[in-house]
Amino acid sequence: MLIPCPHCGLRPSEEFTPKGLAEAPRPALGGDDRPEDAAWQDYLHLRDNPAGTVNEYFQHTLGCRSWLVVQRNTLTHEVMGATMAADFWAKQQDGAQA
Amino acid sequence: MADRYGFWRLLREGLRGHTGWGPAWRDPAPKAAYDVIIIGGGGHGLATAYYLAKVHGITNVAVLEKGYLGGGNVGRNTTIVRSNYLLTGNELFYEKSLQLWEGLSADLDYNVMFSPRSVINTFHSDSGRDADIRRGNQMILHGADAVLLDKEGVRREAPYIDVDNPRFPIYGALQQRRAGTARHDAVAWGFARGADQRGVDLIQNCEVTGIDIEGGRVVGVQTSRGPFKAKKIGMAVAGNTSRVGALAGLRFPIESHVLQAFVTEGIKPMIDNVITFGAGHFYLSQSDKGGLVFGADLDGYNSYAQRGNLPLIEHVMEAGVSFVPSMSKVRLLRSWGGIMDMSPDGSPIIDKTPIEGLYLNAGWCYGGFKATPGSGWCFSHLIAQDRPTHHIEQMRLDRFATGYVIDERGAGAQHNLH
Repeated sequence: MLIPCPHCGLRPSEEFTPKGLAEAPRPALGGDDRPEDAAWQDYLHLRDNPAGTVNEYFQHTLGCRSWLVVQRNTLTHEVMGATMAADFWAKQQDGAQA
Repeated sequence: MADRYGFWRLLREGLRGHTGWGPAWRDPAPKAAYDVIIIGGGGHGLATAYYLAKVHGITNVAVLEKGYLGGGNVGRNTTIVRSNYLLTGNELFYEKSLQLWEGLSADLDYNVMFSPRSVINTFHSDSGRDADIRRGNQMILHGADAVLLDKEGVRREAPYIDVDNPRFPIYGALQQRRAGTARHDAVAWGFARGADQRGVDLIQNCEVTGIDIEGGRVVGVQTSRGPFKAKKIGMAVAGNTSRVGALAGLRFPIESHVLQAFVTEGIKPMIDNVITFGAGHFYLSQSDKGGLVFGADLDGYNSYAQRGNLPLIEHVMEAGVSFVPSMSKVRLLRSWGGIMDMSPDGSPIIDKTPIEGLYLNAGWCYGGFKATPGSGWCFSHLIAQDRPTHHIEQMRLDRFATGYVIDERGAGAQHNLH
């Protein structure tokens, strides 16, 4: 697999560390959050885990060390694209507001 | 009931030119309604159906399999059977499973070729020794067996490894002598035959496409071979847990990842036990056909593809040759991948779901094969009696919300780290 890092260009997947599916944003810290809160459950544990196109966290550990969200197909291992993780969630929020 | 397998049967068939052997199980036409439907005709599903019929007397049962029986992970693993876990939530269960393995061939009247050839986990430091002493004591406290080997003990038990390896010197190992390997396909076939003999319908090429729920309770399933009614439904679908869960509108704490396994060309007997590399994650045994069978880590990314990529293959070969340098002379024959249902703490879930009558058996990560009889034993009890056995009381679905996780490795809530 080759992953198109926004900073470094097309790089082999072994330079990256995968961290699982990006399905829910990280909840804000503070207040009286508890582990049983639904937002934390969604973020930490629960997954749709579909067979097909997913968004998945990768860190470019042996490159620029950026956290990315990579669009991949879990049935074919095809890589569709990659964005900075912060940009990915900002875009999701814009989409939700629009 | 079909004839039992044995010496006289073999002699009779031998004299008749082996013309009298029939199929080991029926290919029944599905009925319209069942007391219990098990989704998934792999090792765990078949074992569950077998124990439902044998122990709990529930025989109006169907096992629905999308492909063919035993075509998933039960046919794709590295066949290791052990109960060397640290935490009570796991060890009670896996020790029960190992005890079932010990009597399984006789119980099923089917040779599953369980071979208690011992599993040896090496360590390479004083802290590794401390951790393994603690683990061994935990195992013994839970009724399992454990032996601490020193360096000379490892040299004696495993003369094929270099205990004085300058980079990863072997300080010793934790050995479980009752552990070993089994013939993976035979386990699926033995449970299938046993379940079928007791009246369970094994329905293949039958993909579940919907789960019917009325008033918060399951009433049946839609399948590629038509709808069936059911009072209770058990899911034992491993890597496809999320997909089947979605049919009932449920989200589970599961990610699907690919794990690769490998076998070399057949060579003369070299490795008469199962051995693991403490400095990397690598496990090795030799099959009865002579091939070295081994595996290591997940590829790490999410996958439903049943195949992995080359970087991980290279990593596994490096780990193997670091540990057993003579392996470098052997040619690799095949590699393949299975889809693991990874849970956030690396331990399984056998529990009810929020939907009445729908039961979940999932999260096996890469420990599913050794769990096969235990999983069937405990899951069938949960389905039949609506309460868990004491072996699985901690294997709850809600443990991630409550914080009572069974995190064997202490790695935290990240599916691909376990």
